[in-house]
Amino acid sequence: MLKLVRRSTFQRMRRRLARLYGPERVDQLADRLYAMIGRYGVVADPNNNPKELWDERDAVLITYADMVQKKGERPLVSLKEFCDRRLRGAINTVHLLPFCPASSDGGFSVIDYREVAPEHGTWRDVQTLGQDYELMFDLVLNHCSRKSAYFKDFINGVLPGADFFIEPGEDWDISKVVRPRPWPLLTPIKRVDSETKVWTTFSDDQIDLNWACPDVLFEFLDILLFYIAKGARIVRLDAVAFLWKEPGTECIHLPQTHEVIKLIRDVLQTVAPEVIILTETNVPHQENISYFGRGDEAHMVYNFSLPPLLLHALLKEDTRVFGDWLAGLGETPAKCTYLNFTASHDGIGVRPLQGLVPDEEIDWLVTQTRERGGLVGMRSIEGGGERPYELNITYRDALDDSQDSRKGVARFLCSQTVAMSLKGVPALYFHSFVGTHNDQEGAAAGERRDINRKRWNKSELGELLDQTDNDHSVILNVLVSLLTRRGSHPAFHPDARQIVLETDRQILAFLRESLDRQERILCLFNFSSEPYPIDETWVRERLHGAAGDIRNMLLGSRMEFQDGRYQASPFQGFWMAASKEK
Amino acid sequence: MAKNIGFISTRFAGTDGVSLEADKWARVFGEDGHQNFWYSGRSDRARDISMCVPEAFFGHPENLWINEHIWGVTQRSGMVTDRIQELAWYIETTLRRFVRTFEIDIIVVENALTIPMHVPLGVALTQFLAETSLPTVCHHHDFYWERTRFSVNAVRDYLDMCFPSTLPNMRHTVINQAAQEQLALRKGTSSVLVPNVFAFEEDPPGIDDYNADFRREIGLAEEDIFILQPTRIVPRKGIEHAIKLVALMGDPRCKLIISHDAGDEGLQYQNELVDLARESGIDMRIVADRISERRQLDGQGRKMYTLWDLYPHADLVTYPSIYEGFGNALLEAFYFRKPVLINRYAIFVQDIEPKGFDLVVMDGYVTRKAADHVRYILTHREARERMTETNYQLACRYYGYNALRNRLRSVMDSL
Repeated sequence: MLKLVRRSTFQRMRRRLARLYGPERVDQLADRLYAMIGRYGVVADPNNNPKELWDERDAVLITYADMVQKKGERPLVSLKEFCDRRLRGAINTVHLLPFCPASSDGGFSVIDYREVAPEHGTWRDVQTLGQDYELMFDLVLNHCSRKSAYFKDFINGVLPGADFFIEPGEDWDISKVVRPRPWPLLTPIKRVDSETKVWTTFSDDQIDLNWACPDVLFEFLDILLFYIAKGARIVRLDAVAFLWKEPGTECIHLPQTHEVIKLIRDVLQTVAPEVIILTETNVPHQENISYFGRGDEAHMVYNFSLPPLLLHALLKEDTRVFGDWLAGLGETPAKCTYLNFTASHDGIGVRPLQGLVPDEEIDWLVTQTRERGGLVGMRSIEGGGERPYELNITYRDALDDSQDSRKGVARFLCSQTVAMSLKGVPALYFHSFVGTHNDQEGAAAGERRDINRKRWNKSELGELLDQTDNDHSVILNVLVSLLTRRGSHPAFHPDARQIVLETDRQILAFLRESLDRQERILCLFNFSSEPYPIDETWVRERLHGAAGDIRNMLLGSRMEFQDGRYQASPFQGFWMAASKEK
Repeated sequence: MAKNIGFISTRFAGTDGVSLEADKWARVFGEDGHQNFWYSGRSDRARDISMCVPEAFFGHPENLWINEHIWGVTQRSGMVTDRIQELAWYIETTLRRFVRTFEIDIIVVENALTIPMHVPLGVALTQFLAETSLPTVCHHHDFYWERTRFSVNAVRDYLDMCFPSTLPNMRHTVINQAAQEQLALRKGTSSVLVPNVFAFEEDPPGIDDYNADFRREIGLAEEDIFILQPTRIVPRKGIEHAIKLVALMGDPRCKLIISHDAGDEGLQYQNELVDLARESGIDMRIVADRISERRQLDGQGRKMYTLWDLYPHADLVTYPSIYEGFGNALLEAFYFRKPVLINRYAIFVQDIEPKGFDLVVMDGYVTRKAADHVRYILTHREARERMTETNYQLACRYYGYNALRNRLRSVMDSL
């Protein structure tokens, strides 16, 4: 087979292997890597230019494989039917949360990375979904299940699995390790002929993998290629910040972790340049975007600051903190962008608020969450005591208003419109699309996060969405309509320029300008529960002195200014553009 | 003169037949002053004398992918050829490193040029041995022509070239006479018959503190008759005959205990057996969840036992196999001095039976006579002991380590 591998890229991969595993092993590891190129038929087509990584039509549905359930029907089949019937045109990508056999943590404790859990369906179902939608898979690469074959081999001392996990000896200094969970870092384990302790960042069922062992790297590169062969277009590197461990360090964001991501990027550049790496690092913003590297690591990072800041701004009816943060985001490296989301299977992390708003404001947000039936995850802090780290509530309920449900719906729709207007690729959680309320029963029976992980009965959901007079169907129809419209505006290309404008505190406004500068859209949102008068002159100036009609692309209608003013309703959003009609 | 011997196989781990037999050869080589080193895709051997190359394991995902595209079809794509060659190329680089690292003098290929479960490994080995002319002993356990699943394939070219290859620097050993004849017929090459062996020169382990509670743990009463089927649950083991035997015994104290589960060959046969046992009114128990390769605790804190913890408790061993490459479980039963019901499978008839073993035999189906014979053996201690002692002594003579040593020395001398 003729392998098209750039000499410079291959040399770079060799250097990365040497940095990770030492120069003495690099020849063998480079041979091993070279042999992988083309595995499962994953190889760049020399006759085709790789397609653009993204454009304005990209929108992601975040969902569990079994979100829609019907007795006797494989959930993946039900999910595709839902997407086809309800979301066609609005989304083009489905992020299937982990669908492999797993033992805990909502699928993030994977037992077998190459199987589809039979209760969800089959690979054929996944690939059928992939015929009509781009697919996003999780690569859970920091840890695996205690029930995995790897761990069984570790227990029994069978190579290569015997080296797949980390047994920090007594001489390992683990005092500085950054902990995302309150329970012990090390978990005692009985091996065949000895007792030991293994590294467990997240739980005693999720054993951290030893990436200092090259066999782990090659196993996961193989899984990566396998997923691509099965249709993955975006690969989400789960909890990747914790990947590499070194004694005496914080064991988070280590240079070797970045090196592994760069190596993965090089491999993809060689065999599948159209595949996107998304890193999942729920950490403060600067640390989060460090995973862009110099444009040589993740193509995309989650915009983790967005959900709590947007929530805070909408509930406070004050955009100053949010607007300042947005204005200070800065440019991403070339071919890098954000995945803009407001909700996912996890809770709303409040760490991004720290330093931006006083602690009393965070406490206020906690109170608001609890008043709306939500739950709050707390973490221990140095010197004793606890601080909130995560709000567990559906985004819809987080923005609800107990006195006025219409206001709650309007505020929620405003939040989603803001998120999809921002620079980046929008991703909506299933429960945002259908406006799911908190699943109190689920949380009571399971864990805190289950409050936002409801599984819908197919017929129950279908009945709700077929009616036109309930909030669920209203929310779905509006969001589908907005995303569909969004896809026809190059100004919403993820790389299109974004200019945040100075406004009154109750207003958020920014401009989006298409890459060819032919389209300019003024995105404006009233974050207040009071009407707000929009000044026509101000709008026209922002739109380069547009003289003709101003259209609101959200509604596809002309904006009727009265005496130079347009009265924005509470929580109303606008995509204003100068009409092209003469 | 002492040599460095490099054992090569897809796997050296656990208690599969190839791993166990390779161990026995290594022991004999070691006793003769040689040094043994191990190359495989899965390995439980000591790290300082082994090299584990995951791509060489037959269960490696890429090899499984290749297998999906070459068996059961008669044509393969260029991409599949590419991947076979690519994997073979990489494996060959690791073989070179293995030989260089451990200064290997003689290669022993354990079944990797025999059964084509890993075609790229076979290709890599053949090319490597052709290029280096390293003295090589091929230890053949089971050839592809003995398995129907390999009969329709898209790799006839590779099978002809590598399974086995017949290079001048190679000596071939087989474990039964039929294989010897087929190898000569198909490949025109001679071979030495080296049957599987067992440590008959040493006393078998018995009941100790660890395994004393096994019968109780699986729910057997003191008076129960423990009939052991010490195999995986796959169709060629003919386990339905063991069920029939127990049914014919008509004694509710008889409990049929199967040590292993279906493994990776699917549950259909196992489910059929469970139904058959229920319909036949016999008590059959599959205790695979309590059996491990080593004594240890399971996830629930329960004791796990090895197969050797079961044998001392057994009253009878059933071995009604339809086909076996040799029959290691039979040797184990001789070793533990247990009476055996056996089906006259071909290799048994040709290679083992003529040695004069005293067994309860069936010929394709279980008869009342066979059941009566079993009943007699179980109830007459002297006859039973005479029978098992005869078998032990014969096995010691033909299938002990001394027999193996003599044959291996002769093979080594011919290199």
